[in-house]
Amino acid sequence: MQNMNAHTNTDYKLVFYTAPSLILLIKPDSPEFTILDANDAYLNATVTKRFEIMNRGLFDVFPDNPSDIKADGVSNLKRSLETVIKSKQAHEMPTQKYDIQVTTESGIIFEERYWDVSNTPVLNEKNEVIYIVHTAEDVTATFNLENKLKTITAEIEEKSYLLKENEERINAILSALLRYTTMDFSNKLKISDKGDELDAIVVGLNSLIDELENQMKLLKLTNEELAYANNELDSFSYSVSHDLRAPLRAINGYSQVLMEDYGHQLDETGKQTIDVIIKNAFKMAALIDDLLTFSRIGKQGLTKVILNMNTIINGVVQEFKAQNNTVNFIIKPLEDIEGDGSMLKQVITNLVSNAIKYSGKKENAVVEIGSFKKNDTIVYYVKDNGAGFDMKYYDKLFGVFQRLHSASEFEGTGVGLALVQRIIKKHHGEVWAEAEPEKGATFFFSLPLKN
Amino acid sequence: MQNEIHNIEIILVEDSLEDANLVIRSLKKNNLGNSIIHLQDGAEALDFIFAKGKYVARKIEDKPKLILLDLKMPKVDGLQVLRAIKADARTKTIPVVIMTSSREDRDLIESYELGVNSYVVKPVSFENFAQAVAELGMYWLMVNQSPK
Repeated sequence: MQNMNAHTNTDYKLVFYTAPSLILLIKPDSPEFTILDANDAYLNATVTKRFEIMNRGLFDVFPDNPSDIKADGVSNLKRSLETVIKSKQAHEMPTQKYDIQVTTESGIIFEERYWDVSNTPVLNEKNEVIYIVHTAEDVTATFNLENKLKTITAEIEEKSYLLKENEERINAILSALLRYTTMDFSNKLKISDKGDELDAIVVGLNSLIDELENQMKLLKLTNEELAYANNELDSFSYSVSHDLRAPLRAINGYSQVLMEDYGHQLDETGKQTIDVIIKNAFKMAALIDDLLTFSRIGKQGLTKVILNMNTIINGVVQEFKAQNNTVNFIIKPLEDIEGDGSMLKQVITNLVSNAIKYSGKKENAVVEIGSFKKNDTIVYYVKDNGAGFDMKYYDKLFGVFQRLHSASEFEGTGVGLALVQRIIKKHHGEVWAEAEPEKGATFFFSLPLKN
Repeated sequence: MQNEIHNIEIILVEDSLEDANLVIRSLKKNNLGNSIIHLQDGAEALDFIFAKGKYVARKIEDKPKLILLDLKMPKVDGLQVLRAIKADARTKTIPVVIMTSSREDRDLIESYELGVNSYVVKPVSFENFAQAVAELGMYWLMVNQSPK
């Protein structure tokens, strides 16, 4: 002090009061720690007035916030001050929460504050602590910002962890889906404990797979039954073709022998009777043949190639022309189609054969064959101007052994159109017909352009 | 005829007596049925062809010109007989014609794989049947040349 002649005590006090840092001068009289003075910055920051706090105990002026049960400002500050007295050295406290009292309209409340505090001893010549200079910096804003940053960082970390976790779960679902497409259902997905949308997807997927597995089991059983039935049918038709034909041949042969060897002893009625026997044996043979063809077509797989329908139909028509030249044919240019050649040839043969059969008795019998595009199909038709039929019997038209004409009018087994329908259905096509009695019939079949 | 077992030209293996008689009738009408033997099943056919059992007096080398073989027979079926004939060096040059009621692809394929010489489906029509038998007999006995 003696060295500072140029300045008065009052000057120092002024300097102290206007210093921008927050400074409090404390007496080292533990445990009171009487406040000796405070500068203006300190008073502003703590919302206090000098006369209110002067010569009062530090902790009497700044008690802990009673509503903060974890408040440790008083005890930490007290310990720091004790340390300073003992060690005679400055002590810096880590950032400390220390709420301050402010007067509002609703009374005195505590406001949350964070401080960086340092306590510095002032020593005399005898090395005794005579004052403690307590400086503080209000770091509430920074602290809050840091806290907020920490919270946000933690949230981001948690979110990105969740995202990563969800990504893994989605990947698991995707690879499971991929596996499922190969019909491998061995590793079912497990649901997490989250119960979120992904779990809902997994639950849905699992029940779908369960259902699918059940259906596949059923399908397998059905297929086995079908294969068994097919085998049965196979051996049945084999027996039919062999065992039913042999007696027919005997009936036929021995009737013929009877006619040849004993015909001279028979009158006309006797000979006609033998004719009836022979004719019916033939009819039965035709029935067996048609039935076998029908069942064979049902079992047979399709060998699909692009077919030149003009060639196929012209071939069929030429064969018929060779046997019958009373019918006029009109063949329009035909669209090509993908299909089983021999099966579709059978279809054309049956339809043309019907057209000839039912129009053959007419004076100017005309059979027209053509095709046109319709949606995603090609429609082929065989039209005649023959006997036709009444559309009210239409539902019987494509049935096996169903006939709309008596055998005495027109011969037939009733298998031809059933066979046509079976072949076209195998090609995923449709068959239909339009007719009027005595005016003729048109049979249509459509085949899909792309299967 | 059934008692004659030597110098047989045609062996007819057929379980149906009716069919057999029709075949023999057709052959005879065409003068081809003079040295024919009718055997009623595959087992008997094997005994005859390989000179065993009641046909032990035969000589295997006494080869027929033609074997007409039905497929579906009791005991030993036609395919088994065919297999035995074609597997044995002493008999495999004998022409074998399968005559059957049914045209089943699997029979047809197997017969040809076993080395059948011809495969005929018996027509239901007697006229066609008689004609087929006559043509067969004519071809294999008159036209065709087999190694001795």
